[in-house]
Amino acid sequence: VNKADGELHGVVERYGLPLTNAEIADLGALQSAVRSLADLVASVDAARTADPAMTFLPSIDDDAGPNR
Amino acid sequence: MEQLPSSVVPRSVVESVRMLRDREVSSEELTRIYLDRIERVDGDLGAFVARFEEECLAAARDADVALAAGERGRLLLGVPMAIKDIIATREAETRCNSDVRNPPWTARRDSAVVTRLRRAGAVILGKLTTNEYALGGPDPTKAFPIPHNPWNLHRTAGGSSSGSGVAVAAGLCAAALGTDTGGSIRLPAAFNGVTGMVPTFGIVPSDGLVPLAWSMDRVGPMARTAEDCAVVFAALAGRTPASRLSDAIGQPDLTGIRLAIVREPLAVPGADLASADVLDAAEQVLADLGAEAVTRELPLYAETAAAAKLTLFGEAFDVHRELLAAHWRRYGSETRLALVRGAFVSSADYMRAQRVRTVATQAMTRIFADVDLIVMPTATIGAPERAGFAEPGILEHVHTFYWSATGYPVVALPAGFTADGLPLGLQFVARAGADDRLLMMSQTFQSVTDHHLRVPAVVAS
Repeated sequence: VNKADGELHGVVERYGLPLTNAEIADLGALQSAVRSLADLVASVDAARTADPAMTFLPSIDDDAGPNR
Repeated sequence: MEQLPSSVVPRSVVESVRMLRDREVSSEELTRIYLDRIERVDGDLGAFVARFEEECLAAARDADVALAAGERGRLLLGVPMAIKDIIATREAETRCNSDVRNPPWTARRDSAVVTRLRRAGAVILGKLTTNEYALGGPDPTKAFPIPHNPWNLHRTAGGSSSGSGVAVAAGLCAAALGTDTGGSIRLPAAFNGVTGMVPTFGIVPSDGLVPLAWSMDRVGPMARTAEDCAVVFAALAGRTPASRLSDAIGQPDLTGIRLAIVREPLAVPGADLASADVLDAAEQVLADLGAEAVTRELPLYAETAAAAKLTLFGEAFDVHRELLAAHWRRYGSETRLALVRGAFVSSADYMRAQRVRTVATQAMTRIFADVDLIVMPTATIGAPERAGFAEPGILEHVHTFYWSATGYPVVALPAGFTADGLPLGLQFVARAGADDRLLMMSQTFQSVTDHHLRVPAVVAS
């Protein structure tokens, strides 16, 4: 089991998800798609924007839309 | 495509209310007309998962008594509507098109929005199909109806408020409720050629809505026109009784409105060529109405849309993690794999997504300080084949997630057609809390266009 496969199996075991072998084979592509999104989001950093939201931790409630 | 003849059913909520008040039709007659239409055509369309015939006819008769007594105060008195089956109603358990029962939702009770609709006099015909838990796709191995697009039965109805879009497009109810987390009102509105409204986050209560992603879930109306959506929205926002149905627009005029057209979605390879024509035509209509065009870019567009997706994945996985472990194989195959994506969203990913949402929302607030209306495509393709809908290349043409992340009010309305006759839609977006003004601008656009009045031939026949 290489490192990437180990991570996938770790997720399955941690949450107790009874995936089929075919579904486990699909997990790599799903994980890759999520990582691409996460990398894109992470590209927005304090160096890229001076918005205070990048340096002060926002509360989740305050983030829920503009109606505040 | 044809115009829906008013002799068949009223063409809108507003026309229904006028006919009911003028006693041209009773609520019971109108309800029976819709029930008959559902019986005749829904076997091919798959919009309804449950019909409440006994209860809705009783509610219609009650409405008729009030109408006969001259009552005018309730906005939707006697108007037949239908509800997406992730919104709780007292008549039946909320099943979310799933074989997995989520115990809190099996109790029969009304959600806050259904309570408000009933208080406004609406007659609830039944519940409408959804993608499983508002996330998966139609699953032919399950016992639930598969929604078909009435413009082309081989095409997807979109999702997840697929039944709501189909039912309104096919004239099976006067209006419907849908929910929107990543585009689930707006996309079926676009694909089925109807009007949908997503209110500012937090204005309409979500109590009694099965959650998908609680920081983005919104309930809203789907109907034929923006004026209809305005009436239903007023009821959802708790504004009853009311002295008038909706604000009359008088002479169509958008003088003084500052308008930004967003064209970036047209640049995605594979966009339908008609999408650009539809956006250009809408811009011309709005300019002719007096709106002043300005140039603005949406801040952090791709990053904010990605933040919405990460948020949805993470929150939905948290909602379902215990049920997934206990009932993995009872979920549809597409749903369970869609949900498991959330297991790969780390806490750092999630928190950065919230920061990006905040930055984009604040940047948009600054833009909305001197822009009244933003217009952009809902999707730059017509409804694709059902089997290919979940393909990544298809979803690149869906442009709803930015507004999911930021929570601004959106009206998704029909604005034209592809060369092969499938509806194309636009999103009209306004500043937070300007829901009524947004509806008024959308209504003004529809007062000089007729895309929203077109219906598929199968419906008019």
